[in-house]
Formats: sequence, structure tokens, C-alpha cells
Amino acid sequence: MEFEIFKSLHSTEIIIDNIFLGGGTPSLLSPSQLATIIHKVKECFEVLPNAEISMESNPASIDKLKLYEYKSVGINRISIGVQSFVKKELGILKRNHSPKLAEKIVSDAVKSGIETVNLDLIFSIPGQSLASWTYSIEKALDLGTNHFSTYNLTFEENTPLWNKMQTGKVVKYNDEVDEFMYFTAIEILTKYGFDHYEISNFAKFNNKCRHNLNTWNSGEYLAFGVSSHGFFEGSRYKNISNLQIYYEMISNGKLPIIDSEKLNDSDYSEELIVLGLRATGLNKAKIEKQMPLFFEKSQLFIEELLKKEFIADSNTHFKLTSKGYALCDSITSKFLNFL
Amino acid sequence: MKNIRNFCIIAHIDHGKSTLADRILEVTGAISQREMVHAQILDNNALEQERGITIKLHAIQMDYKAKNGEIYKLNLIDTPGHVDFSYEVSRSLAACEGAILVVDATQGVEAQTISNLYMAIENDLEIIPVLNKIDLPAAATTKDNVKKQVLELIGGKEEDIIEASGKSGIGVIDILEAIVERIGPPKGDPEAPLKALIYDSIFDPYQGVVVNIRVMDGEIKENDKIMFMSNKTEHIVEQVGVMKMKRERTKSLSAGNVGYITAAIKGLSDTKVGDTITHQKGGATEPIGGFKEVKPMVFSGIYPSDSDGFEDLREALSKLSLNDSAVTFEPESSTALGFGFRCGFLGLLHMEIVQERLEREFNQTIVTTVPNVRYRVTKTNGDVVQIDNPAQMPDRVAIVSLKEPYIRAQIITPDQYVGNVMSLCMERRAEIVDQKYLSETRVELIFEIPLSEVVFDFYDKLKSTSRGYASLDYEFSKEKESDLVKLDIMLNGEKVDALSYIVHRNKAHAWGKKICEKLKELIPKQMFDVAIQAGIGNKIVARTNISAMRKNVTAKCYGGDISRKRKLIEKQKEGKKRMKQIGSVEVPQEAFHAVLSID
Repeated sequence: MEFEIFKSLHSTEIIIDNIFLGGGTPSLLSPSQLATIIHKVKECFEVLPNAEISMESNPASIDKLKLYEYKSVGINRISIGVQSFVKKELGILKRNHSPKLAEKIVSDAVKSGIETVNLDLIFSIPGQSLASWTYSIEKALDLGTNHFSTYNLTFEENTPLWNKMQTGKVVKYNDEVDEFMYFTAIEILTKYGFDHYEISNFAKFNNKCRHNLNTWNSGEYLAFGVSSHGFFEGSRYKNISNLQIYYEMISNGKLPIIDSEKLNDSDYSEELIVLGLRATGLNKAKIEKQMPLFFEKSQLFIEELLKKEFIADSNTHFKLTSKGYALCDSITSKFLNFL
Repeated sequence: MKNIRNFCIIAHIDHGKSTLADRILEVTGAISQREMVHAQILDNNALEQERGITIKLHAIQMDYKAKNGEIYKLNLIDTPGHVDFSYEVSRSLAACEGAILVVDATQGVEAQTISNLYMAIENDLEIIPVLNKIDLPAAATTKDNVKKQVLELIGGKEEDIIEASGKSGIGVIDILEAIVERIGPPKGDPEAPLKALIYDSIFDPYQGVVVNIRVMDGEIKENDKIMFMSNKTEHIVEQVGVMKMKRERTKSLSAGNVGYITAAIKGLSDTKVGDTITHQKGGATEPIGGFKEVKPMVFSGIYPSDSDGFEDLREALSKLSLNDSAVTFEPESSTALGFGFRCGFLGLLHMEIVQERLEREFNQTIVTTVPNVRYRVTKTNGDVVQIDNPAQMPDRVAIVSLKEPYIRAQIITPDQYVGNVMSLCMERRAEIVDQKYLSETRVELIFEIPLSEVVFDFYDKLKSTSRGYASLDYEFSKEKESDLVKLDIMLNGEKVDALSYIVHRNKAHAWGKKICEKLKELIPKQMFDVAIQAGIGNKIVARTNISAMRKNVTAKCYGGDISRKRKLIEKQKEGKKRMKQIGSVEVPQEAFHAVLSID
């Protein structure tokens, strides 16, 4: 329905390069429900024949059969929230799957023929050792994973984990441990031929996630469904998160957008820096065009970063090195001072 | 004139002066119950009410029908209640013939009360002792002892002491009767040439400066041509009146009266507290004694937090000085902080008040440096210079001698804390001058201490070491030569001028170490190692290191996060604005105050 409402409001033809099914656990949907959604998108928009169709999943909500069915309805990239292959660590993260199940699901996913299999892995889990972190990465490699997203555990305020940290029941590692774990992942994965193409993302050959790359390159994307976010015609927008109101709006033929922000020139400049640094680097030509004085103003800082090997100069881009990635937020905020 | 009584109230903070004053105003009908809603009329500045102290002087006139059937004009002249303002206190005492000495019946006499009391006695004021808060349960056991203390101080008989309670109104009539009976009418000759004492002045945006005066001799009328004797500035009087709840014009004031004048005076700099007003023609030849130019004792750099804010800050300081003539300010610049002002204050409390007023009343966001005193430096070429900014201290080799101001501190403490107080003072390079028992359990200690050693945290330390019982009063004594050195702080080799500090040679190492540690705590990790060093001349006396930040990255960033992330970054940017860039090191503004929070 939402697709149709959107289409009725926009006359321009929209070409779709990738479909991303995520947020929550889309693997709870049956393959036939997924097929309906994908079919609807294809009906309403022009979807390229080689489009990436990606979904997120949890090991506990999928099985071998589902995986084969996903493949048959057109899914060609699956992301599995494994987090770790160590029982104790999964316990701390309150994940309801066992390492054994995770191993089986990953192996089945690879065998199913879905082209890209991504694993989410988390490091700096309280009690995690460098050896157990290495074990999880290597286990995933053994199973044939060709895309990794590795995340530093974050302690979000007022979560059970946060409360445990406050009461001293778990200990949060310091930034030196974080850095060490992060560098270990980079070292292992690049050794196995993975391209470290974004702060947290590693991919074999052409397995880079097009959806994410598009985001980081300030590309447009449409949002459908409760609580989803989109970027279209210069505006970032958000759908309503209340399911009931969502239904009401849809049945009244309205788009369920709750919040929309048109990016002004300086927002756009900021995003060029913020998003660029995370992935492909600062695009010299693009930035020069958007902000003619930027590189002149930041010259000393850039020289310092080059000298300290926080960034590398590829002629077209200034891209963060591994060391630079680790300090991405600090470097980003310094760059923003030059806007 | 025989039915005029001019008096003030001497009390320690918290001993209930304002509440008692409110009751007196109420009983005499100067204010109605309805106006009492906002209790403590005299402290009418928000900051004063919050801190429970009086900063600016106030005066109020009441009519009181005494038991003898006659109607008296009572002028209550308020006094500020803090050591920083002791000169102002002395001038308001000079405007009175009597003083009510208010002592908390449960707490006894404190240092500041004593020094103000001594000042009142020197001014030949009649003292009316009042034991306040007499209705507190604890007073039953403490009052006899407190009475004994009071009698030891002022002599007299026990029955002269009035028991009162500002809260319930006990004894208020007795106080009023005592004012009428015991305090004499003002002396002075209405026919003599005009002599009026300025005991305070305030700035009114509509009328210009309102000068509060006590007419000693002669008469002052509207349209009179007058002169301020200290600086010979001349004015024509516009309004003459008395202070009730509001100003009331009386057109003239004659000898013995207390009131105000306006004369289209633009700024407070002309109207100096303690100065004498007389007529331009046929005026007095000799001013009233006791006039002093008030000099700032404590200095601090005040900088706009945002470097664009210099002009705004200048305007705010100019406006603020319209009703605070004691603050001085001169532009200065710092490599670390940019353009700002070196400001002079009467003392630490005064400094805090000015800083707070700048932020609250004038919406300034400011960075302040560690306060320091003024040094007198004799250079090898014979020049003598005064230094009120440590960064400007000449090189050691160019200095023959360095003098620093000392104060004479009077501390009164229960005897069980004498040891603690002594060791605190000794740490601060104090020399003990005198020690005596005021009563069986209360000791008065007199020290000579370098002012620089008390400008920060001394008062708090004194309070904590004596569980709040010791009280302090001080006066400037003299300048003395000391073996002082300038301690510089370097961040990654770059000297931070705003952090330079003058310290005694024997303490330099320990200080250096503490400051380095404190800065390490306050300066967040940067993208590279930061070396913090403290040095005297070329010699490094302490050092520490802030290791580089190792990882600072938000791992996830998907479509939905982008708006949120941008807002987060914008917030960080705001935070960064409050950081000062020194070389490549970002220093939070609190760091410039670091020394203040060192144990």
C-alpha cells in the first residue's frame, strides 16, 4: 500500500539499485511474505535486474529451508546477527542462540547459494579475550563468510548492560583494548583478502554492500514501513513508529512520514565530511565544488594527519588509515571546524 | 535634630541580621505586612538573597513613636557582611551614632563581628548588644556563656543585653526603645559650612548616580552647587530626599540627617565612598576624616569564552562598574585566551560576585584565570613596577627584589581546633602574632599571612578544619619581601601564559606536580600524546603525560542514524567552542581555574 501511495504522489520514474530489508528481524517473515514485498517493489518501481536484495536476520529465527526459500524469492545478500561464536559472550549479550546453531546457520547460508553472507561480530565484550575474539573471526572465515561487520560493544544508557556496568558487575574495556581488538580484526581480515571499505565493514571482491555504500556516498534511498528512514529529493525523513497510526495513515492514503528535514547547504557539506570519512574518504573534487575554501583552511591539519599516518592521499580522496578509522569521530569533528 | 537616631546593625552572616531588620521595619510601620511577602527587604539583589549576605549598602528611614510619647526618625544604615568590604563598613559606621550588635545566642561571637565591633567602638558608637534567636531551644543552655563573651568584649552590665528573636518578634520594642534612649542624637552644626559624608552610591538607570549621604554639618538643598572634596569635581544638586521603602524627596537635608542626593552624575567613579561633599562657595575647608581610595587586592583575567565576545564583555564590564565602583578592569591579551581584561577586586568574594553578575545579569560566558595578588618588583635597572598578571613577571635575572602583600588575619576558633588552624596557617607561610583566650573555650589567633596564600580556598579549608566553627577577618598589613618564583606551565612545549603562577620557591615543586596532575585530569585525551610540564625559568620541576586517545569512533552508522549523528556532532562542536586551542592541544576552560581546585 505504502509503495502505491508513494508512487501516486511522485510522477518521476525511480530506478532501484538495491532493496534492503532490515530493522527488527525481517527473518520472522515467511519467505512468501517476503516475496510479496519484493514483488510489490518491482511492480511500483523500476528495479535493475542485478539489484542487490539484502535482508537482516537472527540465527534463532531462520533455518536451512527458509534460507533456500529466501534465495529462491530473490534475496542475494543476507546479514546474520551472530555477534560471537563463544557461549559466555553470547550470554552477556543476552542472545538466544548457541554457538552451535550459529555455526550451522552460517554454513547453511553459504551453501544456500545466497551470494553475500555477512556476519555481525562484536568485540570488547566484557570478559572477551584477544584469543576468543580471534576465534570468532576465524570460525566465520572457516564457514565461508564473505562479508563482515565488526562492532565495538557500546553501553547504551539505561540498558541492562549499562546498569551492570554502573554497579560494577561488568567491566567496560578501555580505549586501548578497544583499539587492539579492532586492529586485530583488521589485520586478520585484510590478510585473508578482505577489503576494509568502511570503518566497521569488510568485504571480499564484489561483495561490498551497495545499500551501505549508497548511504555513505550521500545517495538517495526510500523508506517504507514503520519507523524507517529515507533520503529523497534533498530531505531526510522518518516514518511514524506507532503501528496503529501507521495503519490509519496508510488506509487514508497518506504517507506515514512524521519528520522530514530538508538539508541546507551546510548540512550537506557536513554530511559530505561525516559520511565520506567513514568509508571512501573525502572526495576532493566533490568537496572542492561544494566548499571551495575547505582544503585551504584545513591544510595544516591535513598535513599533520598525513604525517601521523591517520589519513592517506590517493589523489582523488583523503581516506582514513586503520589508525585513522579508530579515531574517526575525533578527526571528523576537527574537520567540521573548517566548514 | 534631637529626635533623630542614626544606627546600624553589626552581625555575623547567619546571625539573623536581615530578619531582625525586617521586624524592626514592620513594627515601625515602615513596611506593611503585605510588603513583607518577600522577606528580607534589605537584601534586595537576587545574589544577596541567595548567599544570605549584603553586598551593597542600603538605608531606610522609619518613624517611631516611643513610649515617652515623642516621635523619632530612625535611620537604619545597613552594612555589608563580608571581609572584602570592611572599608565600606567603616564608612557606614561613620555615618551613625550607634550600633546594634547582634549575636546569635546559640553560636556566640565571631571574628568578623569583633572586627566590625572594634571599628564601631573606634568611631565612638554607642553599642546596644542583642542576643538573637533567643527562642531556639539550644539558646537556653548557651545564652549565659554568650552573654559573658559579649560583656568581655564591650564591658557594661548583663541587663543591658537585650534578648530578642527576629523570627517571632521578641525584644523588638526593647531594641527600638534602647535606640531612642541609649543612642544620642546626632551632633553637628546646621549653621556651619556643609559637610556630608558619602557612605554609598548606587547607579540608577534613570537618575544617574544616587549618592547616599549623612549630613554632618550645614544643609544641602536642591539646586545647590556642590563639590566632592577628594577630586574637586563639581555638580549641581537635582534631588534631595530620604530613603523610605522608596526614595522620598524632601528638597533639603540638614545636619544629622541621612538621605540621598542626585546630581546628574554619569558614573560611580566620581563618587567615592568616604568622600566629603561641600558647597563650591563658602564650603568646608577640611574634609571628614577617614577617607581612603579603595584599591583592588585580588586580580584575575576575565576573557570571553568565544573570542568574538571581547566588545560585548567590555560593554558588560562598563555597565557593571556603574554600580560597583570597586571593580577595575583593563584590557590585556593572552596567547592562550586571546583578548580579555585584567580585573581587580577587593577580595575573593567580590571577585566571585562580579563573575557571577557578568554571567547572570549580562549573559556573558567567560573564562577566568586563577586569581593572584599584586606584586612589587624592583628591577636591576632600579625601576620599581607593580605586577598584577603573573605572565608579565620579568625574568628572574632582571629582578633585585620581589615584595608581596601580607594581611593581618584574625581567626576566632573553639580551642579544640587551635591545632588544626595553626597547622593550616603554617602551611600558608603564616607567622603567628598573638594568641589569646576570649573565654574559657574560645581562642583568638592573630597571624600575618601572605595574601596570595589566602586568595583561594583558605577560607573553605579553615571552615572544614574547624568543622565550620572558626571565623576569619583580615585587613591589609604591609608588603614584605619574599623568595617568589614564577611557575610556568607548558603543553607540548608551548608555554600557556594564562596558567603561569607566582609561588614561593619552597612550594614550587609540590605545586608544579599538583598542577600537572590536575591538568591531566581536566584535559581530555587528544589524538596525540600531550606532555604537561611545570617549569621555573628553563628548569622543569614537574611533568606528566596524557597518552593519546586510542579509539573514538561510532561503530554503526546506517541511514537512520545520519540525522541523529549530525545532531550529535553539532552538539560536540558547541562543546568544542568552549575549548581553547593551545598549539594543537584543546584545553577545556575549567583548566584555567585548575589551581583553585587543588588540595
